Amino acid sequence: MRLNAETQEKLDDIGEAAFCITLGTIAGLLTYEFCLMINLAILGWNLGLAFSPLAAGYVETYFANKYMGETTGAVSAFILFAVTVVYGFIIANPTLGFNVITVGALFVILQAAIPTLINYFVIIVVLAVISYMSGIFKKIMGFLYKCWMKLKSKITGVNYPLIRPIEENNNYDESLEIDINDLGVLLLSTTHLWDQEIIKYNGVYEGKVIYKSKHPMGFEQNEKLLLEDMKKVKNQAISNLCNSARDDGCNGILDLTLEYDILDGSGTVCHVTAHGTGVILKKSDTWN
Amino acid sequence: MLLSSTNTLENKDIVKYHGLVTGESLIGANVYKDLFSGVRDVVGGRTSKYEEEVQKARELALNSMKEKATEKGANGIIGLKISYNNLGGTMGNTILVTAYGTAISYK
Repeated sequence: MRLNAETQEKLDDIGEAAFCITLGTIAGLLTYEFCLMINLAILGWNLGLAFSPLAAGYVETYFANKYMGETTGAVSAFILFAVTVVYGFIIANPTLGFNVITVGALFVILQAAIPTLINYFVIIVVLAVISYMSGIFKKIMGFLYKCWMKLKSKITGVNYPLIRPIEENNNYDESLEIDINDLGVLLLSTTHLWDQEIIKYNGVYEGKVIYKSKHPMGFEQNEKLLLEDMKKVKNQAISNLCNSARDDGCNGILDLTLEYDILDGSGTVCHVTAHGTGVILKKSDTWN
Repeated sequence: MLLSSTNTLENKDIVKYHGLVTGESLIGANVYKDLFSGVRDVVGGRTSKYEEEVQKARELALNSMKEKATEKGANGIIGLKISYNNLGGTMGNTILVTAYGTAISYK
């Protein structure tokens, strides 16, 4: 079968483009291998991650311009991106397998390969994040839950609660005003009571609250607000501790200890923990 | 107001447990600025200004705790604990001083 001149020309172009891409890829791989061989790294980062896609793109574009008179889109640079990410982050160093750079690099590769699909995906993710942050998502899910429960009640004839049961909340709630000595549990920082009978030791209980500071520091007013917040956070942690102890029939907490820990490196999230030994005390005039 | 870090008081009868009393105070970020402005205070790695501020914060926390105990009619605090926590980071390297103990009435 004989090909016409136009088809033959197209095939030649594709062949030339493939040749240029192959040359670029080989140049990139050689650069990466060279960087790995001489361990060209700064702070644990092998510079081959940056140099090899650059070398690949440069060589490919140079030959494409020379033989075809136009560029081929630096396809080999993306191939090298994929190779360096898969090798450098996943195969050679699996502890760095899933991080922002890996995900970012993979995202760029996918975006180049299938831009329309990825753009739609980004739009959906952005909309989902906005709806989640603004609470619209929660409202929609609440509405759907109510509708489903109503329908279920109609079909089965059993009345189901229309409000979801509240789960234990470890996040700081600004609106809560708690009197720690009015929770039905005697709180003691001591390890035992003087002249009192302990009927049963129920074990160690813990109450915790996660607090994220909203007040930028350096202003006296904000320091006062932070102190007020910390007092409330502590009360909430003690309240959580009492709730879990009371559920098991405890009416006293011995050796109550408070701990404040900063969870993240930037120091914006504080974890306040109250823990102690839950006990059942014999009722007495000494406390009530 | 008697303060003790022990669990009981020797030769004293505890007649009532009032529960937990706490007191808090904060050493703000401004202290660090003050520290840098008063470099001459630094002698052998210690800064008198810093010690002053910590002492002040501790007193504030203890006084706040004692006030709460007095309101409850207590005349002693046992099992006393004092902790210093650096809240760090964007909270401005603030140090939270917490004092807490068990308020009691004794005779």
